[in-house]
Amino acid sequence: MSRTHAGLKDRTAIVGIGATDFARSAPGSEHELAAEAVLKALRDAGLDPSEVDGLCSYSMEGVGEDELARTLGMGDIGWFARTPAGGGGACATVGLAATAIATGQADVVVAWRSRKRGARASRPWAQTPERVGGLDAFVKPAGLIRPVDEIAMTARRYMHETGATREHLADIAITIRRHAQLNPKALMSDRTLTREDYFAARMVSDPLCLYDNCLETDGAAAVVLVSAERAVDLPRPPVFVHAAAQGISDGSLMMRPFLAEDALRTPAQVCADRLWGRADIRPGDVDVAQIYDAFTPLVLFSLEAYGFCKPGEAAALTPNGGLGLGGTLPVNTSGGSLSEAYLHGYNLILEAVRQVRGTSTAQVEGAQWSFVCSSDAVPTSALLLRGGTR
Amino acid sequence: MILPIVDGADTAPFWDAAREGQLVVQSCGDCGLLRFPPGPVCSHCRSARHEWTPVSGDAVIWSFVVAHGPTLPEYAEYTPFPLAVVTLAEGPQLRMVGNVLSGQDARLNSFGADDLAIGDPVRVAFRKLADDVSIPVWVPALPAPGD
Ligand SMILES: [Zn+2]
Repeated sequence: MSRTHAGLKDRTAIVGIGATDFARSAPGSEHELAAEAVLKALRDAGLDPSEVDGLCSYSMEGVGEDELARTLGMGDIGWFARTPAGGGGACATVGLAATAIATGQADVVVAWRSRKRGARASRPWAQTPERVGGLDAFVKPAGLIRPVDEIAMTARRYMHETGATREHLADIAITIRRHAQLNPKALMSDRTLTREDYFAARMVSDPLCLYDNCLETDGAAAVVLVSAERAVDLPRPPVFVHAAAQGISDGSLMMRPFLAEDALRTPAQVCADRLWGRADIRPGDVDVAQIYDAFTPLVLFSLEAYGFCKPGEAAALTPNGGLGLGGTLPVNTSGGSLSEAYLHGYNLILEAVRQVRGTSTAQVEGAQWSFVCSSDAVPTSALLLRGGTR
Repeated sequence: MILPIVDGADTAPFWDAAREGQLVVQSCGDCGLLRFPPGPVCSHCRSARHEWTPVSGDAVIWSFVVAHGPTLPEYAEYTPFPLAVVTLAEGPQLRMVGNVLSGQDARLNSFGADDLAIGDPVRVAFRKLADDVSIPVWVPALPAPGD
């Protein structure tokens, strides 16, 4: 029942989006960045902060709901929630907000993420304590410390089993960089990336090199959701939340799916089963996709998990601009986490909305069905957004 | 080096055994299923009874990476060095993370990317990191006589 339950279908819409500039190092605090992004999103929606009665963010978010509400004069707040698992929870903030609105718990929900991670010293792995407990005790003393090591571990096995190679990872990095070059707000908008650059780059965790890694970024992004009924009265064309889903795969652990017996059955496969079960369309009907790309292999995992190709054949989608504008499935059209900004996947949600509105800097002509997913190495989530009338 | 907390209530028997040069995992006190990493309940029969059981120490490489910098200072002098996930001979549900070394006291970078392959057989050894800490590491297994 729950796998195919269509209770949320098109009942809510994203009516406002907003983001700060993205930078390696921004002067403001996370609190200031969040306030700026949320105000922009509300202005875009044509709503006053005092109309907000629901708030949703990540469990890792540093700015409290109470702080944000007080800072922006939102008044009383009647619903709030957080989603776990870092970058896996991005789309889930929208799914939760939609659920709150559809079940009458809130009328206007703001969901957001703000982050200051540009400085290396601010990265969590650089602050590992001298003694670690829990699962870390069995992982970190050997030197498996950084997220990139964990992803590279699963990636090499995936490459071994499917025949995907570094050429395919290069295709992904280069295609997404080309999209960033069309987006003046992208951190890498004026930096080309050639195949030669890719293969000349230093390795970080073999088989992954520098360009397989996202850009640690300072910035914030926010969205505003209301009911479908209310959305049609607001200034922007509504972007309906057609379907939302989450997933944890059997036995997988955060960033360590390799500890599951069936380690290549990723969280996204569970999420996909539910997303498509609740949707009116099939993967082949999607016009444009924003796929969580903190590391290039995650794009392969997600393409496969969400059914954009047959099992094990994601690499066949990447050559010859297959993931670029005019290709089989344009992905990460604003530059993604690899080349626009790494905001735990929140900028991907904004780009999914822009595509349906027709306002992307790498617009897929006539895009009506926009897919966006969160990290496929942790408990994850995904959304299917659509334009047009309800 | 980062060290494990070795006196935790759920994990102390693992580290006590490692100090003695023995690899142990939890085994369910009711159905006998072996499990690692440790946990409070058997995921198969949901029994909370368990004991710690020695395993052979034979494993194969499930996957590996070669870590280059930047990393923490105490590991940086060894980069690039390999890290592996191995599957224990006792079952596909038993995976461990560890260094792959030419011997238990070898430098972390005693092997490179070209020396390892998925599926390679390895054997456990123990590397002393502190007076109270030895961690399992993996050494390529010699082919058995007759292979
Ligand atoms: Zn049992």
